[in-house]
Amino acid sequence: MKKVVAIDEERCVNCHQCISVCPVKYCNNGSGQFIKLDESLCIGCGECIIACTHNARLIIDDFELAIHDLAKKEKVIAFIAPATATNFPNEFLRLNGWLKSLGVEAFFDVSFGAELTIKSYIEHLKANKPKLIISQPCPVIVTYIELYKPQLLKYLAPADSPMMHAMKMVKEFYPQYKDHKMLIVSPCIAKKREFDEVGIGDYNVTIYKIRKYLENNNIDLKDYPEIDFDNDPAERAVLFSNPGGLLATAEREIPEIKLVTRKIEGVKYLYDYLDKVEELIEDEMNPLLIDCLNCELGCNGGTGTGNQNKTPDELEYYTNERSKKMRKLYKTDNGNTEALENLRKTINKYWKPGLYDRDYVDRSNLIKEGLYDPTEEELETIFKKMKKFTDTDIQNCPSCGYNNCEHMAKAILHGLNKVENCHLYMNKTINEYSEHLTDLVEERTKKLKQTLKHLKNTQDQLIESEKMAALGQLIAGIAHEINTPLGAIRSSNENIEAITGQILQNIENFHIELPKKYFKPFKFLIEKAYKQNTYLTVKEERKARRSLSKKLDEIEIDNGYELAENLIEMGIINDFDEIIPLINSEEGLKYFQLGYDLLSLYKSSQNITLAVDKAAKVVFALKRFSHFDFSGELVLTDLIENIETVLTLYYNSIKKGIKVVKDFDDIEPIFVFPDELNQVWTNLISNAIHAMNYHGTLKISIKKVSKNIQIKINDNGTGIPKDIIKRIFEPFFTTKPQGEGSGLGLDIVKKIIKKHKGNINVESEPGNTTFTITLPLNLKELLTEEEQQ
Amino acid sequence: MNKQVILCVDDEKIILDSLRKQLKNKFGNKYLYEFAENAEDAFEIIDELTIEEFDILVIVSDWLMPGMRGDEFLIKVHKKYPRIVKVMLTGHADEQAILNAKKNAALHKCIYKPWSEEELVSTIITGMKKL
Repeated sequence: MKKVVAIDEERCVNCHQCISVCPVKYCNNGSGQFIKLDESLCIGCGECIIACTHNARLIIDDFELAIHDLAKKEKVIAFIAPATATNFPNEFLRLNGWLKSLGVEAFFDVSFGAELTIKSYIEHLKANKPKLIISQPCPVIVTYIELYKPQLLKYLAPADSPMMHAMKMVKEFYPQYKDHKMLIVSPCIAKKREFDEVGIGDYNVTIYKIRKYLENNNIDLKDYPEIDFDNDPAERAVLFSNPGGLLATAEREIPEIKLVTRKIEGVKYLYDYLDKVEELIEDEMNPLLIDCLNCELGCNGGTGTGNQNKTPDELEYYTNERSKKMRKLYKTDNGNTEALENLRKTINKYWKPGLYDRDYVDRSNLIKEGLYDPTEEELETIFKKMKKFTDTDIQNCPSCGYNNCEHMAKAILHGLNKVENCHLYMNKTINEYSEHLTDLVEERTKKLKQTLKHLKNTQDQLIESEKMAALGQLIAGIAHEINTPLGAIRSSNENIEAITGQILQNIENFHIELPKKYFKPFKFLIEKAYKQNTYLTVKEERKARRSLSKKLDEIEIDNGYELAENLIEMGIINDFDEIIPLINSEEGLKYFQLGYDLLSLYKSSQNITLAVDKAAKVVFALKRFSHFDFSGELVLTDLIENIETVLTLYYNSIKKGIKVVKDFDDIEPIFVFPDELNQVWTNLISNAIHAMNYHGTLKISIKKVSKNIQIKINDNGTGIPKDIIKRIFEPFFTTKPQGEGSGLGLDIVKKIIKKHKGNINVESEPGNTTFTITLPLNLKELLTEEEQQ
Repeated sequence: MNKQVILCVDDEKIILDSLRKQLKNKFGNKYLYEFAENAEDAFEIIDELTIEEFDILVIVSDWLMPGMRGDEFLIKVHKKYPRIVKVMLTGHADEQAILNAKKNAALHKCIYKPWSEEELVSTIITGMKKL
């Protein structure tokens, strides 16, 4: 069957309003992104066009084709539907004038065809005495019965519609036009289908399209002459386009027919009614005539008029006026039987038995095969897919457009819809998703919490391992730092042992009393050595020794070289004249050696003290450093001491070629987390040492700046490249080869400073890098306040 | 005057002092003892002594020192004076450094701080026996 409704796929939003209003539903396919229409199942009722609020449903007619063919000088005659009178009020004869201007040669009034139709119905009644006649001017009803109610086919009036009557009349009685193309000015999109079924009629041109065309092209019908119809005039059949127009005309012939007629219009009621007709017949409650039209306003407000929003009164006013005019013309009012007979004679002139017979086609196979009702099993399966498990799930809501869950299931079964269009299904799905999401969120939250906890642990571990890495680096140096004084201690002690041993072994060789001549030089030697206050470097010592050795040689003293070494060790560099008696005789040398040994004892002892202090200092720093507690409490700390601890630990690295310049203000101890700050200094100092590759100047300043303490750690190393300076505080950012640095050092530094409510900044250019740390003086108060909040 | 020299290199003066005492205790005036606080000074002394025709028998060097490290220093010495007996005395040296010195400086022995006089002396004696 011809397609009479077009779909604008882009405008369609798949809202299912069309399905909702469709009396047959299954011509629509809602399984895709937009609704598709199967014209073979569509009855052409046009409800969807009215209902669609998205202008996605459009009428299809032959307007463009007709205009095109007329322009090509096609021979065309026009048939004007009675609804035209009300759609072009007072101007419908001028419409003929306009059509004539386009080349239409003759005009026939379908109302006269309606007069013939009544004649055909009366003949059918007389001849066949049917139980029921279902009127058939409306092609939509014909298609509905052919497709969906074939049982009623036998009740459909076996005569043509008024339109067909008019066209067949022209073919039969106006031979001059029998080969002309027939243009119908039609209120109905479905009329086209009648043309196809009967085989007559060429252009179904809707009133709607004509009106739009006239509007769009600023054509005023007033500019065209009124042109009357070429056929004999109709009488009251001009009312045919009204609801009940057929009945009104039939009444003229059979006045009592009104009593046995059911007049019914509109999609809302008509099809439900037709579905019950068989029952009515069975119960013998049926009327004789059903005067029915698909459109609630009749053909006046037909699918092709665009007039569906008008009131029946507005529409019928003009047809009624015309009816009055026609009755006046035929003088048929007031029971004028003569006039009626004249009218009948006119009608009969154009009526012939058999000419207007109409056959119908049973198309219901299409439905039986393609649209069968689901079996219980199939229904159950589909319902499951629709998440309908209980009776309460069968909500028969209007969302899908079928208003009925079974109908929706049927559509799904035949691939005409999808579960996603079911409200309940979507609700359940959304709920499931939402539940799933809730679960998911809960699960994720749980996991995230675990991850966070894990991360925290890891962070603690990393901080610890970062510390251990720093410690590891230090170990080598520290081992040396400790072992060096230990070496000195050991050797000094051995020295003491050796000397005291020698003295003890040879004690009898010494005169208890020092001979008088040695008294003065010996005293000088011992005093000089004991009060020694010039400290020479190894190099200076060597120089002094060489020069002294030369001088001793000059005054011809034996073993000048060794003697010089010993003298210098005892602090006698120039003024050796005083002790010459001790070195220029064997006896004197014995006393000199005694003095030297005694002094060695003293010096060894001093060395031990020095070495012990040194080792103790390292051990102390190490202890301070390794004592690390993150849950630690605020401790009143001397920041200078805090930094010195780290410098002590790094002494080994520093002494290789780094000059440390300290600029420390005299600051009061402040409350900090000293162990953590230790780690900050360790990191920054170690980085600085690396940056300078063990050679350069490390400047550390501690200043009081208003309510803060500002610590600057500056080095003249390579500097931090501009492209990475912004990233150095990022965790895991490292420029060291893999395995050497965790990349966490500065991240941890930043965290520790943050914990101290302080700031850390870096400025760097090659040869000048400064880390500036600002620590508040009142950290304890700040933290207490925070805690209270 | 004795022209044979034992040179000690350490950045810690107390170590040099200790070494001086120990060596003098053991060897007395048999050798001359020279001391340097770093590799740079040591080279200076070595070159000077060589010009003055002193015979450097043994060098006892620390490993961890400012500037040049012990292994590197001994390697450099070895290139110019392969005959000198080289001894390392250190509080800490990594394995690699010792291997390096053994391989490239014919390191006689590495003594670890704290050391004993006996250990030092026997090392020097065994070293000199090779000469």
